[in-house]
Amino acid sequence: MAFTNIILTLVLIINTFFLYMLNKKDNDLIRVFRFVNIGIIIWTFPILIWFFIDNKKILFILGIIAYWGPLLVSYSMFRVACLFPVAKNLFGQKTKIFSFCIFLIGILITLIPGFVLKEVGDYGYDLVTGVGIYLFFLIVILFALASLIIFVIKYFKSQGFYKYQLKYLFFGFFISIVIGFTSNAVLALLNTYSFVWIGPSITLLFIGFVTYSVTRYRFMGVRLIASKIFFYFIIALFSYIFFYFVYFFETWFLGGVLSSQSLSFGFVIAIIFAFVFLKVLNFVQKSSDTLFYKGYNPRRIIKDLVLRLSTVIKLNEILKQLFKEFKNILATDEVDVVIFSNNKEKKYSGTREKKLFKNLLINSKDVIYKKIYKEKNILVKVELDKEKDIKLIKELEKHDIEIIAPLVSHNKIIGLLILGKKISQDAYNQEDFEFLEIISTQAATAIENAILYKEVEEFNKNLQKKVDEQTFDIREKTDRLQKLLAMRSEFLDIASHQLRTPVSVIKGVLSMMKEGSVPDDRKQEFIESALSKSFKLEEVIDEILRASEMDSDKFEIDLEPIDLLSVLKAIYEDKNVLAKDKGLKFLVNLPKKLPKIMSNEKYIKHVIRNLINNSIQYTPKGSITLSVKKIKGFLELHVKDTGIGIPKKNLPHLFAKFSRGKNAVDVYTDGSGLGLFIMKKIIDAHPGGKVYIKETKVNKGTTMVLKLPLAK
Amino acid sequence: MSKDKNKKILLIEDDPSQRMMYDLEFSNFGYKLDMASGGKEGIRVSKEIKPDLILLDLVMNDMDGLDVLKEIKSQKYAKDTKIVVMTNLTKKGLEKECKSSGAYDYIIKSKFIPKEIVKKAEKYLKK
Repeated sequence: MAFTNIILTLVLIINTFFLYMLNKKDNDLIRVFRFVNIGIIIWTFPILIWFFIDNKKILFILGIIAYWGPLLVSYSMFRVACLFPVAKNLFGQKTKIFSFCIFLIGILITLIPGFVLKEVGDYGYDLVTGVGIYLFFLIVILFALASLIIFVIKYFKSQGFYKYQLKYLFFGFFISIVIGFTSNAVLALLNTYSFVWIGPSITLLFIGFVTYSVTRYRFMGVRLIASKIFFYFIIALFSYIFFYFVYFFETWFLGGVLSSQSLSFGFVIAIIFAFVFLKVLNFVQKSSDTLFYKGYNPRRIIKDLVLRLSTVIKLNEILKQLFKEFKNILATDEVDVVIFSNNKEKKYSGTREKKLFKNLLINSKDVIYKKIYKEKNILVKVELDKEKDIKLIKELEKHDIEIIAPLVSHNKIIGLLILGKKISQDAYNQEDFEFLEIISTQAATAIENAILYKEVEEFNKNLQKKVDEQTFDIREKTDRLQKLLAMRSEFLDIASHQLRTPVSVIKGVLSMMKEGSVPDDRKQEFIESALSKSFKLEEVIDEILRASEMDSDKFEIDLEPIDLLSVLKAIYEDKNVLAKDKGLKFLVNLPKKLPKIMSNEKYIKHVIRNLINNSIQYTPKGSITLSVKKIKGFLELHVKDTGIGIPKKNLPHLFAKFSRGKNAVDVYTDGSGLGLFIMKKIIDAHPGGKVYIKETKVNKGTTMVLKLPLAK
Repeated sequence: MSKDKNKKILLIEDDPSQRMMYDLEFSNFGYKLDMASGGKEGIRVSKEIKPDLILLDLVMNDMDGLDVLKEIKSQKYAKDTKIVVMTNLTKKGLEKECKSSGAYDYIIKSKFIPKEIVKKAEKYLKK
C-alpha cells in the first residue's frame, strides 16, 4: 500500500512539475499537451486518496472523476497526434469539433446514473460498472488507437528528429495504453482493483519518453529541468535505498538501530556514506550531463562559448560559433546576424530578404528600427502588447522574426541577432532569453573586437601601401640624386679638363722661357700662344660659372621684347674680325626690318655668339652665313657653315650637358661641351624656343637653327 | 748621341700650341719628334713610321683618343710600340681603361712641364 502511495505521489509531483513548466509556453501543441498532464493528475489523484475516504458518495464521485482521467489523456493524445510535429491542425476544424464531441459524450455518459458506473462496491475498493462501461472504454481506446495510428503515419512521412520524437511518443504512449488499459480496464471488468494504481503510474514512463524526446531537441529549459529531476530522483533513490539497507541490517543483525553495535557501525557507515555519496553525486551529475546535454551542462556551455568568443578574433569564426550554438541551444535554424559597420549592413546566413536589413539599418520610420533603437533591448514577439504593438507584431510576422537581440557595445548598436521560430515551433523560454542576453553581450564585444581587428589589419595594409609608395618615391629621388651626382662628377671631370688644357700650355711655355729653352726668334710665338690660352682659360672659367648657375631646374630668365636685328649687327661686327683672321667669309642675309622677339638681350647674345664661334671653330675654309626667317609667331635664325660637320654618332648627344660618346672622351676640346649645354638651357627658357641642327654633313658643313618666339 | 735618340717618337695632338711646345723641347734634348694633328692622321703616320713611342692625346676633335689607341694597338707593327696616353682628362676608371687597352702609361699633361715630359719619354724608351 505504502509503495503504491509513494509511486502515485511521485506521479502527481512530476506531473504538477511538468504542468507548471508547460504553462509558460503558448502554442496549441503545448496547450494540448497540458491536458494530457491534467488527465494524468485527474487519474492519479482519486486513486491516491481512495483509501483515506470511507464515504461511499464521495468515493463514487471520485470514481467518476478517476474515469475522466484516461479519457482526457487519450483524447489529448489524439489531439497531440494531430498537432505534432507541426502546430497545425492536420485534420482541420471539423475533426477538432467532432473529436471534441466524442470526448464530451465520453464525459456525459459517465454522468448518466448507472450507465457506466453503478455504485461503489461493498468493500469500498471496487466500482460496480454498468453496460455503458464498454462504450466508455471504446471511446478511450478509439482515441488511443487513432493517435497511435496517426503517430505511425506521421512517423513514415517525417524525417530527422521529428521521426525520432514520433518514435518515442508512439512507444511511450503505446506502453502506457497497454499496461494502463490492462490494469485499469480489463482488470476492472474482472473486478480486480488492486492493480489500478499501475494505470496512472505507468504514465510516468510516458512522461519519461516525452521528456527524453523533447530534450533531444536540445530544448534548453526542458533539458535543464529534466536533468534536475533526473539528478534529484537518483540521489533521493540512492539515499532511500541506502538508508533502508542500513536500517534493516541493523535491525536484523545488530539488534536494533539504537544498540551500541549499531551506533558504532552507523558511524563507520556514515563515513563510508559521506565518501560514497560524494562519488555518487559526481557520477550522477556527470551521467545526467551526458544524458541530457551530451556531456555539457548549460553553465559550461555558456562559459565555453564566452571563452571561445573572447579568444576568436576573426569575424567569420565568431559568427560560425554563434550559428552553431544557436542551432544547438535554441534549436532554431533561422538565425541572421547583421553587422553594421560604416553605415553598411553585412548579412550573414539566414534566409530573410535583404531589404529588411537595409530598413533595420537606416529607415528610422521602420517600426522595428524604432523599437530596437529606442530600447536597445531584446525584442521578443510574444511579449509584445497585442493591441499596442499590433503593427510591430505584423511586421515581425511578415519576416518570421521571433526575437531580435541587438548587439550593443559601448551603448551603440553594432549589429542585430535575428531569430526565427524554433524548429520545434515552441516559444522561447526564460532560459533562452537569459542565454541570449549573456551571449549577445559577449558576442557584441567579440564582434566589435573582430571589426576593430579587421580595421587595424586594413589600416596596416594601407600603411604598408603608403610606406611602399613613399619608399618608391624615395627610391626615385635617390635615383635622380645619383644621376645628378654622376652629372656633377662628369661636370668636374670635364671642367677640370677644360681648365687644365690652357694651363698646361701656359705652364709649359713659361717654364721653357724660364729655362731659356726657347730661342729668341720663337719667343714671340710662344708668348702669343700662352696669352691666347690665358684668354681661353678665362672663357672656360666664365662658362663653368654660367653652367653651374644654370644647372638647376628653376633656371629662369626675364624675357622682354628685343630687336634681334640690332643684336645680330653687334655680334657681326665682333665676329667678322675673328672670321677674317681665319680667312673665312662671314655673310649676313638680313631684311631691313624684323619684328621684336621675346628674349633677353644678354643671354641671347651669348647663345648667338656661341653658335657663330662654333661655326668659325669647325670651319677650316669657306664661309659662315647668317639668315632670318619668319614662321608662324616665330623667328628662325639660320647659321650655316661650310665646316667639318658633326659626325653622326655625336648628333644625339650634341646638346646633352657634357656631350660625350661611348668612350667617355668626346669632349669638345674648346669647351663647347659646356657652351652647348648653356645654350640649350637658355633657349629652353623661351616659350616654344628651340635650337637644333637642321642639316650636317661631314666635311660639307652644318646648318644650325635657333627658333625664338615673336613678341606679342 | 745615345742610341735612344734615334728612336722614333710620335706625338698625336690636335692643339697646335702644345705641338709647338713639345716639338721644341724634344728637339732641345736631341730628339726628332714626329707629329700628327689628329687621330686619323696619327693612325696613318704611326703605320708609316712605326714609332717606338707614341704620346697620345685623348680629347681630339676628329677622333676619340681611346679609339686611336685601340686601333694602333690592334696592328701587328705596334706590338712593341709603347703608347703613353697624355691628357688633361681625369675620369674615374679612364686610366685603367686606357691601360687595359694597351697604354703603357697615363700622364696628366698639366702636372708636368715639357722638360719633364721629355725625361719621362727617355725613361720609357730605356725600358
